[in-house]
Amino acid sequence: MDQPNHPGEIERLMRLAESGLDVSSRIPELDDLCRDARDHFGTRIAAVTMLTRDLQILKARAGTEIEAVPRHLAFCNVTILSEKVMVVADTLEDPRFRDHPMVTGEPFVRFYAGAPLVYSPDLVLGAFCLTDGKPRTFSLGDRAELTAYAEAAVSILVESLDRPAAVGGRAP
Amino acid sequence: MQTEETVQDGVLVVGVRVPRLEASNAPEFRRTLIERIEAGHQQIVIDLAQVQFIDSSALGALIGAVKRMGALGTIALAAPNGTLSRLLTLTRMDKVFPITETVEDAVAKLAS
Amino acid sequence: MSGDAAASAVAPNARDARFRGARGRLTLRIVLLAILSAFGLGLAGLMVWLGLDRWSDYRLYSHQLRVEETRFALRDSLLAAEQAALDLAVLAYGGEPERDPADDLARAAASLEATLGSLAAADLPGGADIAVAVAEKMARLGTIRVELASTPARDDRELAERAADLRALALDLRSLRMRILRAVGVPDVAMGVVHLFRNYALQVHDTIHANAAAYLSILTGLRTPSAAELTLLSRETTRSRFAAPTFIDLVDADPIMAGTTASDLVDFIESEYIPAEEAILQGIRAGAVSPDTVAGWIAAVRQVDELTRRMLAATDEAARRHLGERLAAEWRALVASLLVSGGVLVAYLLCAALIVRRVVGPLGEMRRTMLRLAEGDLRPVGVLRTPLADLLAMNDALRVFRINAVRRERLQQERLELHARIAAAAREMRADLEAAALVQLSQLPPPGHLGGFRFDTYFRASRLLGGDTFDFFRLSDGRVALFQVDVAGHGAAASLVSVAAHIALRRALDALGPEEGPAQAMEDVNRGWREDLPYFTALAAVLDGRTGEGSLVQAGHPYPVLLGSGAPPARLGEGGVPVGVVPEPGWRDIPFTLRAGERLLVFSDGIYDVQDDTGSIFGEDRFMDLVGRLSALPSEDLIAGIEAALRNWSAADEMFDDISLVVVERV
Repeated sequence: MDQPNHPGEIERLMRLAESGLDVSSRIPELDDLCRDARDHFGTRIAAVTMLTRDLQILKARAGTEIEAVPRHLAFCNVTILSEKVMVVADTLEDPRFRDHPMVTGEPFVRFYAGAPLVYSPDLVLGAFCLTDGKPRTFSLGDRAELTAYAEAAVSILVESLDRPAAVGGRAP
Repeated sequence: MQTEETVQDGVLVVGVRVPRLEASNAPEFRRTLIERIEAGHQQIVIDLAQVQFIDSSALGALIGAVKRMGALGTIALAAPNGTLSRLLTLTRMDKVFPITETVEDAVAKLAS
Repeated sequence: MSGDAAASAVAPNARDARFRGARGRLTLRIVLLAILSAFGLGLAGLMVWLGLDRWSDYRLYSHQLRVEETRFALRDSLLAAEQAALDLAVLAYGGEPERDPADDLARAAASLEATLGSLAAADLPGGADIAVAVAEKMARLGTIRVELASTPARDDRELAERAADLRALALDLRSLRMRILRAVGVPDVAMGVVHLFRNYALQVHDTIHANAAAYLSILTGLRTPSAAELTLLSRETTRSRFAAPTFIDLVDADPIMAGTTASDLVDFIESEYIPAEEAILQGIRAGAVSPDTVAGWIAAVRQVDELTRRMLAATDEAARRHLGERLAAEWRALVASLLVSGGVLVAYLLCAALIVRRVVGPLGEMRRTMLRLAEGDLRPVGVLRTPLADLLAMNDALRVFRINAVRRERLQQERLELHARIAAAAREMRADLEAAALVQLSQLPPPGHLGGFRFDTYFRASRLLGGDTFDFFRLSDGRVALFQVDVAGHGAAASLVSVAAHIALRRALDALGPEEGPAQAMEDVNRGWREDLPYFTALAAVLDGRTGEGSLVQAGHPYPVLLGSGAPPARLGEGGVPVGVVPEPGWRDIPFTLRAGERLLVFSDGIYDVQDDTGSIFGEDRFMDLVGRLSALPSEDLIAGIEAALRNWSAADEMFDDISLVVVERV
């Protein structure tokens, strides 16, 4: 899949750098949130992803040990283009993802749902996303709840800014 | 802020169409003037005929514009009324701007 | 389900009370349960009715079987009685009886007894009356048996009388049999046909026995028949042949009777019996009957008897078989109907349970969830266990509503927190500003005497911090220096600039040589003033307390006012460019002299710029007038008067600009 090269991407990366958010260090509360979401939705994987220039980093995750994915393979590339929840009920039915290596090979993703992590009007950090090995439906209630999870994740990220540990990660 | 701009003999005439130039509109006035200068106008006449009152902030705006213009060009003040005239005299602004009784005088002066 | 409903019945009701209108006790749950109950009761009623119907059919056939036993017994006694009658008549004629008539009578008595027994079991309508009649016949039969036992064997007349008695008894038994038949009726067409055959057989049997009795009594010579009687007898004999073809057809067609010997009987009557009887009749008419003819006829009668019995036995067998089959069929139907009813009821109960569990239950749960949400309880919405898409959609919408409520609550919370932080920041900033204002104020000298002059001051910042400042102090050469600064704008930025200007001016004035005037100091400040700092207006003066002579420099600041004794207020100065505007401002010292009691007023343009509510400024002219009017007052009162006048003029209590005023008086 081609990396969406939309005009705001460079700006977004600049804002991400300015935000002072540490994209990779683990935050236990975020992992807890992922586990909670995974149990709630009953999917195989729940993750908080952050999109840097080259990588999609799984800042928090439940159900997988993958830490990062090359940016051009990230499903969340599409999610961050909008403020709405993106749902791919069955990847094999969706021409955008049918031939994706993570669909045709390990981990054989058949279902994806992602809510953008909206940090500020001009900065979407990444996505709160769910994936599963079998197709499923995702109702309006599910979407609303996923959005709430994404918002909770952003709140945790914002709180993490106030911690001394995050100061070292601040951009110049 | 309302201004009225015309070009006469290559001279930009900015007519100020508000009765008061003061702290509330001085920054905008200053921006307007600086935009014109940056757009390449080197001869600017500011028509003050309709201005009743001007405070130190507005005077600052005029001074700022002159500083921006520097040696490249000239900003002239035209047709200040009594109160303005007194202020301009007090602050000896004739050392900073050419000040004329009418717009036409100013245009003639700058165009020459 | 019911336990769950009972447990949750209390709290929702209390909630409902708040949310329902004046009416509306009827809930969907109650309606559904009522409909289900009504429907279930109706269904159960229908099943019971169908079952009872089957049961009554079953009862009918089982009853028929018992009644049939009664009939058999009664008919057996009838046949036995007729048999005995025939044997007695043959005996009277002098022939050989087939059996001992006493045995036949014993058989008849036993059958009658059996009739009574089965009658009790058959439970017939009017069964008691019939039982009485049967008992009476038994008594009569008993009498006949006693009489027969005492009858001499060779007394033909006596024997014939006993035979006639027995025939009469048989006739009674026949009518009794018809009573039973009428009382019970036939259960179906097949049994109707069976009865038809039976009646036919009995009719034939009866006719032949009646004829036999009549012929035997004639042959015995007990009486002489008339011609008419003989014609009647012959007609009786032939009567049975008319019905015969019909019965044969029926026998062939009827599935129950097929294979019986009915046709044998009919054929025999037609081919053997009737010719034999006609031979007897002819013999009687001719007046001579050969014993062989009589013997052949009696044999034919006996053969008819035998065939009749066989046919009846076949008929009985058929009837038993038919009724047995029907009874079994009815039993099967009853069982089947019970099974079907049970199945239907079980299916219904399963459906009802399903509706209750998957519709009524979820509905109630959703109502509870809605009320919970309405009350602001934002715990997660549970997953509904129902297959109904519309309920699922509603529940899904509830989840969305809940998330919306959660987000609204969080936004509210965040807003309040933000407000608190803004308020804290504002407090902090205000504290900073207050501290800064204190510093700014501390720069201002207190009023007092200095080097032969008296200084009175007035200072008012339009905000906490202002762009105005002033100072007066003694120079090293004994002169007194005074300056006042007005930075354009207000607030923290202007105040900081004013502090910078204050320091710069004070330093420059301090550095003046004995022959230098304030213009030199102003030039020094202008030279050192950074290009990117805002300009400011200032006035500086240097005064000599010994002579009262002084000089001042005016840098864009309003003209100071000289209040001479007895003279109108006079403006000093000639104007000047503010500090920080041009590199070569061209300021110069303006000399002046203060005599004892004369005063110099130095002030910022904030005084001129005070506006009334129409927006017109106080202005220089009004100020000069004011000062002229107040010139006789001491400085403190003069300042108070000016302040009062400005306050009067001002539209609001708040002054637009910073105001500062210093009054210097030569003492």
